Amino acid sequence: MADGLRIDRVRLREERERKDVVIEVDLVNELERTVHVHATPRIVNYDPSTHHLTVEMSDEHLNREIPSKVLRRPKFKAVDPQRKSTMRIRLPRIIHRLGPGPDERVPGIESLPIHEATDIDVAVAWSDTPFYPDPRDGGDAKVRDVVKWQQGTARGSGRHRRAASDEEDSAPA
Amino acid sequence: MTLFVQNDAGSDGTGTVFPSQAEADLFLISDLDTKLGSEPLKSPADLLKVTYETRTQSGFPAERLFELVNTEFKEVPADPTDIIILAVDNSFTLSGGELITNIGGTSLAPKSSGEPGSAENPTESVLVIYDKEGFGSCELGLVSQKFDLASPSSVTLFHELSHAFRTATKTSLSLTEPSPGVASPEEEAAEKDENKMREQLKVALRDPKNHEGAPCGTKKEECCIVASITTGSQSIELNRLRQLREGFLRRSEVGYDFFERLHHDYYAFSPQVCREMGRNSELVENVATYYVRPLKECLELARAHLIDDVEGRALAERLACGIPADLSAVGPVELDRAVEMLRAQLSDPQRPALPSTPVIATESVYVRWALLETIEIYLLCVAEHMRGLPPGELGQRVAGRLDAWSARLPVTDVWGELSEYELAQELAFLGGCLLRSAAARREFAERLQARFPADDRLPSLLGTAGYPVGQALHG
Repeated sequence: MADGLRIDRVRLREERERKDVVIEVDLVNELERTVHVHATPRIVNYDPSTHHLTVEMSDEHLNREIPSKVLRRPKFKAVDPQRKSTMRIRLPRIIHRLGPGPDERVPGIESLPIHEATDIDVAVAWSDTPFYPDPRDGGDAKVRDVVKWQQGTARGSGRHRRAASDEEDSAPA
Repeated sequence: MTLFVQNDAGSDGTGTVFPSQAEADLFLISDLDTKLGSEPLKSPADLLKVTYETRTQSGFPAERLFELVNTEFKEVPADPTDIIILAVDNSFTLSGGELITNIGGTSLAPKSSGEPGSAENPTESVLVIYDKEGFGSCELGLVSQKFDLASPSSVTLFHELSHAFRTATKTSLSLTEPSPGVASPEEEAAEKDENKMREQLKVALRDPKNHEGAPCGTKKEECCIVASITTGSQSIELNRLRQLREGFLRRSEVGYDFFERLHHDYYAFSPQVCREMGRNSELVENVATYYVRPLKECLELARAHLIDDVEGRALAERLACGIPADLSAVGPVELDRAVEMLRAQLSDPQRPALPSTPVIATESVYVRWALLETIEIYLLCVAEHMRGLPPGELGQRVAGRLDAWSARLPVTDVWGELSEYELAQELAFLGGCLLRSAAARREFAERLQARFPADDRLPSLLGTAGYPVGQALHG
């Protein structure tokens, strides 16, 4: 029986002119109805020692207990019933992560060259209903919680073209 | 002394934090108070100490900034506690990997304080981290009640400084939302402070009861920080630039992509220009005279000719009516000199572009096409008008220069990512609002095909959209 959304293939390619990397995620909707997917990268982690990159398109692991300027809603993408669609996620080639500095007073920032990733894991939140504003309590100014909207998480893995011995190799997790 | 700007973050140097942007935003928060300054700290060497010994501006943002700079906060660990500002870009993540672009900015309490954000903070300072690029049309406007409100980066920084102030004085409020989407007491307090900064900038207010944002992607509001400082953040000049950008230039995929690149390259040098202006009021005048007003007037002329089909004498009359008073006072000889300097700068980015103005050290094709070439066109045309060129001839020259300029629109990678349907849409859009002459369409078509020689869709799509391809031009 179909689970819902499946990730068929994950690829990473570089765009040197824009100093970006593009992660292409092939999504397969196995259902008889449209699936809606979270299309905004929320969390990016990279381990330079293993060249392992993780990207989450999901609000599940966001820390909401910090002050912030705004809590932005994600973008969404629709995948037609029984169809395949490619989602392209653009990220900077180098990610800068907050970390310990030279002393207790000042922070450090670690540079993470994600374009050197050899293995990529992605997680994509999805639901078979669109994310819509909650009409209660003030109309379209209020929104539903994205985590509550989420019906499932599709996971997939891939390898950077350079890392593969002959050609790209990827598979659902 | 309490407030600092992170200069390098003990990392690999450039491109990680953007201290000049933070200084420029603080300058706006101080309401352009030239008494605000900074000095490098010898140890640790990667901080700039913010100084503000005398305050000459009276607004709430300047008062709050003055207090932050001149108070020794002893309520939280590290007695006294430092507040360190990090201006970062879209490549920045918190320690858990969350991208800063999701939240715009944050203020983290010292790690041993147990206060909100302390688990993400690796230091005993209050860290104020914000996205230097600002963002647009995604927050809830107080009046509009739509997610159409933009946040310049100085507003974001002031919002986070509001949190930092309460953290440092141990007066933080609850971060628990009463219901989804409704601002917590702490966020409501920060948004009320944020609105005082918005009032100072004379931009629309935010609904302080709401903390959600629409998915505005990477759209930026900060039209031009240099223009904000030289002409005022709500000046006629700046509003016209914003309207031209939103209503004319950024409606298409290609236009949007172009502005993303322009914005990226522009912010590589504009904070440094602002910092120089903060130290020298003469520069502010010169930048307004030679950059901002000519740019605005040239884009107005481009719209008149390329969208509204204004030609010949009428175009020359538009030019004559719009010449700013300060430029009229300069005279044609000085304008010739300015044009010579601009051309020299276009071939050598290390030279100052215009008389007594900062160096715009950029080789960006986007900055050169959108800013420097348009200013050059405008100054040339004004000089010819001052020398008495007949309006009919002048109008033809203005039109010819604008048509030639339009054909040089930088071709970016995004063209290669468009579907056939989208390509047709873009070509039709550009043909209708930028590439109005057959010569401009032909030149652009040739450049597009040269950039994507393997794209076999282009010849037929270009032909269908009215671009002369592979044929002689007539007339």
